[in-house]
Amino acid sequence: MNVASYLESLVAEATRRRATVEAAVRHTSTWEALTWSGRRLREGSLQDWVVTLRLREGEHEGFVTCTPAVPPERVVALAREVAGRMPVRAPLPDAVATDAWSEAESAAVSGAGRGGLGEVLADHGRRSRDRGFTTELRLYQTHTNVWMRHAGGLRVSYPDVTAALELRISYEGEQSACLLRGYFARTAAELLADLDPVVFEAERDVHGMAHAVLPTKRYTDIALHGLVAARILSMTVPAMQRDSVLEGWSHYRDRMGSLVAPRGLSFIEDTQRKGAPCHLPYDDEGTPTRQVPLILDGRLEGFLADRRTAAATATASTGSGWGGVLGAMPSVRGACTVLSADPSFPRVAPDEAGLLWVVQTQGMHLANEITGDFSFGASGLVDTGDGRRGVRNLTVAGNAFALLENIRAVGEDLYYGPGMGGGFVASPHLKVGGLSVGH
Amino acid sequence: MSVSEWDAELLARCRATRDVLVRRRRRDWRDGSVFLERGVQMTGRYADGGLSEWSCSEVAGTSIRLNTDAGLRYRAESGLDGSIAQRVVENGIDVEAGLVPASISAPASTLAPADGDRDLTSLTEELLALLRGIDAAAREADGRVQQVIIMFENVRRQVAVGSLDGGVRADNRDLVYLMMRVVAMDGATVGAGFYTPGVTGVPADLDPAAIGGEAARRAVAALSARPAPVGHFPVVIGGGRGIVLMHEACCHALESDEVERNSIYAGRLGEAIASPLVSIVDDPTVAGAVGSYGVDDENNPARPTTLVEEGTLVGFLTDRETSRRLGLPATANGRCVSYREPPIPRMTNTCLAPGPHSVEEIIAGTPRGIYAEHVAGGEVIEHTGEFVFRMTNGYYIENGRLGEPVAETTLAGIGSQVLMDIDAVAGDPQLGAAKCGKSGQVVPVGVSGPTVRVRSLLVGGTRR
Repeated sequence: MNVASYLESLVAEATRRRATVEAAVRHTSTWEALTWSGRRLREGSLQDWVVTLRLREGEHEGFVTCTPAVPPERVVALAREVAGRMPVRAPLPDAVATDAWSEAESAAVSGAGRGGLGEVLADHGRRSRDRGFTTELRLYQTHTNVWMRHAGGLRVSYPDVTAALELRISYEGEQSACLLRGYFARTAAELLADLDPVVFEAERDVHGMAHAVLPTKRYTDIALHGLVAARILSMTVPAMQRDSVLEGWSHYRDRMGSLVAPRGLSFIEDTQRKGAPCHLPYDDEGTPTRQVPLILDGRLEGFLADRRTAAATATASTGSGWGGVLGAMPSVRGACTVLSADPSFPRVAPDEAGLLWVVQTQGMHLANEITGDFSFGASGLVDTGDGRRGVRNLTVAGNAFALLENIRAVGEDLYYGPGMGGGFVASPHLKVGGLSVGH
Repeated sequence: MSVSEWDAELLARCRATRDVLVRRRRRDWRDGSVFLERGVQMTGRYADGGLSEWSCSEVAGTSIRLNTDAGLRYRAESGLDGSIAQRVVENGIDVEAGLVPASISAPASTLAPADGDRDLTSLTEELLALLRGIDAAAREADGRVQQVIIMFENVRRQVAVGSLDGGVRADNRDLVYLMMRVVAMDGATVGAGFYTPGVTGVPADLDPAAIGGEAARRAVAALSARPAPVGHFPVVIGGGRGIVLMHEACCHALESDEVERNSIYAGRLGEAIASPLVSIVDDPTVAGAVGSYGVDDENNPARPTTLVEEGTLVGFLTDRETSRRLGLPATANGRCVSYREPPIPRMTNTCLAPGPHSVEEIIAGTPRGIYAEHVAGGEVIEHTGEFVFRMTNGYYIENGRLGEPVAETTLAGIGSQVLMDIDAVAGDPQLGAAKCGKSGQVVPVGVSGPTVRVRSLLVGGTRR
């Protein structure tokens, strides 16, 4: 049985039961390699098939996921069982009936960078070790083929590739120091091509942290490494979703058109951006994605919506109904939200002196996305006139929405970090105000 | 088909897969395991008195993990038909060989659905009754409760694990885990309460009235919270979920993959690493705790492992791969979140032994400090011991008495110092449930223990 016939069987079985369905099959091919100090510790691969099915029967809706080893009759029966438990829901507007189907993608498995990649990583680790550092590198790439079939006529497929590099580097100086960073790209090949500068930057920073000075003053001029900034900014994205507006807790409700960031800054959802670690022409509901300006030149310009929240607010879906890697029920989420600045916006250089550079955080996942309040553990670097040295065991507290309003300068390069509910958020280095540093 | 027959079917498939590997075993396969799982998982969101999201997933997959001279090599695939073993013996287990896509599985290859329909129905009824009961209890507890949001996970899961040099075993991994946020309002003031109850079992094992009341109490207490201070203070940490302190400050650095990478406790067996008041056991056999199981994911039967005995480091937590490489005893701590990921050394239920003090005397003996009544998760850098965790509900301690509530904030420290700084341990052990993420794998972990006091922790608030 191929993917097309499996999906057609689902639609036919549901129709026989007087129900309508939106079904998808995902085939994921993942590999990973992990090296530590030049040794190849772990390598492996995953071949995974996941079926997702949204079924509507009368006024009820059920959502199930399974493997395609489950017969279509059983999947539909399970979805009907779930639907029977759910409260009455308004019908979803149909996705646009599109036909963009390719059977050929079922055979496509990305080979970019996989030949001998464990040895390539190990070689980087050995060279870092020769320079005095202990470096762990974990590289993985996920190639997903998606096929969607809706009873309403939609029939589309597309491939997506995402790669990630996790770097953990330690150094024994005056103190013991360790730095953890994560990078994302479309392919492993892209990450490997940039690995030398990434490792060199991490070596420089961890070396500084291993020669830390005691914090001696109240820090007011603070810069955030792009990876740190992206994590904090990811907290603001849920408030730019129409579901949070409908539920009444969005910080940005009733603020459309207001200044919520300095003039010259924009925050834009773009799942097909060049250089982004994803390429998603459709969301998980089958809606074509597009650029969605959330903040444009400092003003709140829009909200993300899936089909349901769009229907509830008499707007159109922005192509932001995402279900997560394993195909959970789609809901509104950001997938790739990028902070950018006009050329005239003030710039901060990556080596600018006189600032506390926050280069590492701990506990960012514990922040409160409703209030925007955060407080995390941190390590920073300061220029002592004797090179950059670490300032360790800090806490940094503030509010993500206030931070967005207090961006004073931005760096040139863009760093992609994980979003709060999945997806990615990208930011350059930021010089900011309004943070409280504890030590 | 009864549940025990379902067990038998999964075990038979596991044995057949394992036998293929044993028959064609290569010389460089030092050790290895086969892991099969199948189950039903219901996840979703209950808000404003009704289900707002609900996904039902049927999961089935197989993984082969081999410890070779070159390191751990693994391959995982959805489906349970056992063909993965044939592909491994014919093509090897290297990454390149694993990337040849298998065709979509034929529907006929599935296990029979067992008594899944009936189970799903009864499980669903139980789950909905639990969620409704919690919602009602929270609203009844205090009129200021405005919103009750419950993210739920109800898993009925069976695994079968075999090892190249051992037999095969089956295990039930049923779990109910709730992540609650209750919002209370008093005029324009908003307070949020956070609570994560859980149990290895079924929804009826949880008490909705107690859970709803407790979550409401936390939200209402937050209404009058003052901003948290910034600086170093003595901190008294409540038992149960508060033992996340030990989870972060101590036990992550005792996982053998971290030990291999030179964690702060590497090479320190037999040394005093904590106050003599501290004894810690990792115990996957605690009844009902969310980190419990009968066998780990590499076919090692569950058993407790003493890690710290009256302040002295006496053990590490291992999986097969690192125990072999480091020459450490196998401790049944190889865990994976699913067949999709390889096993790595993980905590199960972190248990701090009760001490000689009472909570009242600990508070009374603290002239000025913070009482962290409830905490959420944390994070640690195992190499240096720098850690943080989140206090969600707390109080100022002033002149040996609990004062005003304090707003949620982060507590930070260095594990090796903080363990030595524990100067009081109470005799009021409680059990808590949490989730722990490592290498992208989030697994349920239990935390059990009493109230403790740390002489000094960095409180990361905004009030100077």
